[in-house]
Amino acid sequence: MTAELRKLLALPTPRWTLVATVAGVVIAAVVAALAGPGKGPDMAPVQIGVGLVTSVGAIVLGAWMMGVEYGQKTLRRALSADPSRMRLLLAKLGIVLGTVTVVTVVLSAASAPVFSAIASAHGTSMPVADSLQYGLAALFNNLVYATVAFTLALVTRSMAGGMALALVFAFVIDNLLGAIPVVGDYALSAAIIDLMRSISGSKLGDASASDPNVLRAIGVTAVWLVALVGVSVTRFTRTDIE
Amino acid sequence: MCCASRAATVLSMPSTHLATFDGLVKRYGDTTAVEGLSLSVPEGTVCGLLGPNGAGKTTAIRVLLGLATATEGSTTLLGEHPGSAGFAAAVRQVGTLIEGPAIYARATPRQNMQIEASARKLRGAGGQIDELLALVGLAHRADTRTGAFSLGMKQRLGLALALLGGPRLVVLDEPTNGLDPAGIVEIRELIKRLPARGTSVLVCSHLLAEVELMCHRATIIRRGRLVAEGTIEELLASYGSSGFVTRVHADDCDRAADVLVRAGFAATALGEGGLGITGAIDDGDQISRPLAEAGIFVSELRADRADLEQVFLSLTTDHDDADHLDAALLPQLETIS
Repeated sequence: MTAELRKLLALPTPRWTLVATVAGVVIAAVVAALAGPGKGPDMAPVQIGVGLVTSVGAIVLGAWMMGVEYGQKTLRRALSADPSRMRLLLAKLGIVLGTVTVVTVVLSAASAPVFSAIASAHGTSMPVADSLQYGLAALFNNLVYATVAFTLALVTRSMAGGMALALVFAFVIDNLLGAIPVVGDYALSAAIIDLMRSISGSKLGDASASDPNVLRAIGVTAVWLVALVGVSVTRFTRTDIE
Repeated sequence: MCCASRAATVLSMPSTHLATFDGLVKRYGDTTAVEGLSLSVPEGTVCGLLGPNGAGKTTAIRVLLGLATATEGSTTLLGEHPGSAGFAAAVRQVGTLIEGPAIYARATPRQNMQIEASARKLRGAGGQIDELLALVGLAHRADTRTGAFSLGMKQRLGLALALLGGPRLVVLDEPTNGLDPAGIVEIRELIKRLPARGTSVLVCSHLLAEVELMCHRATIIRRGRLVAEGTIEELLASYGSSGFVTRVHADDCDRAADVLVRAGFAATALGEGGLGITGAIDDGDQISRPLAEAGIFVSELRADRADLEQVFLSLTTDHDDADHLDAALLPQLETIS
């Protein structure tokens, strides 16, 4: 795991991803300060500034962590130092999930009082506790999509391919699936939104939304993750390394 | 004259082996990359693994390191089979440089070495990193990004990565690729010294002169099969001596040939006073003495020894393919001329 941490710290993509993520949160705060935070319960600045921005960062990092070995053609070297492919995958996924957790928690904690103060200045209420609760929901979302991106990089055996596919999946395919009647209930995005609503205790901007079906959402999320992880890990551990 | 047999020639073999291939077969669909390869890498030696492009060298090494699975047969690395409990520990004692240096281009040489040290679970490798970077001539570039490095500099870094942790065996694929002539000599001398540091070497190279100069043993494979194995001397001897070459004054050449034929040798004019001489020749005196007695003075006399390139080509060139190639190229060459 130390080797993977060294890669994370030494190579530029994670650093720039962090810079972009922090910049996104700062810009969201500035826009909220200038234009107003919107309706307090919707927490629009927090959703964009923390939720959306950190989820993009999580996807990029998830795809990069595995894809970098394909992009730099260093996978042979990594496995020549330690031939256990499962150990390599677990170390990489552990670093990704750990980093996503730290960044999301720190940004949520740091931005919550800022957004609360901005809301107060504009005469509305955005309690710190609500923002933190939303941050927790965003953390869950980010962990799931970082894992999805990680598995898609494994499937595509490409850093750019993994990132592109993961972003398209998260922001286009998954949302389109969610729009299909009946089938949409089993889309990953639908399940994640239900769980985020449950964790944050908020309708997340959709006042007409029905109460989340938590059990189904947990089941759907688990099935998606097991399927993606199962396929990608099986392929990685059972095929020759080029 | 080619005395080397197309059949596999397995010559003398030391006892302790760090890597073994036992009847290895590797197929990709209908394509057979390695077919029944059996060979060993003895400890304390520099071994060459030679073969034309596509002969199966890299595939065999990938199976050895557990990066690919064998279709049939088996391999061992430091006595451990891929997948066995001790295989990971064995791999950590092996340095590799396969198909070019695998380095993180946006990291510095030092960072690359630190990543490798962590992956190999080497504690306190800082001093060794500095020493190895100095050894391969990269100490002055240790903290600059490797992305702008030349291929030769990347090769040097790849070699330093392979040597990290003092491995018992290093597997080097074309280690002098991209190096300038001085760099080739430098790296060759470094590789030759490795057994004295406790590191045996398996080197794949197309630079046969380099292999001849740096290796104790060589294995030649063709189309995934072993065709010859032994010490360099044994391989050269298996090809047979081509006799001697002598050079006399050009005007004396015909007369010298007559003298040598009368002495029981076959002599062939090579032009400009040169004669190729074959026969039962144990010593150069047998050639120079009759010539001197005939008043012909020799300006050059040397054994026309086979080199590894001749041995390699004799064992790996498919004459049918060569004929087809000639037939295909000849009309084009005639058109060009």
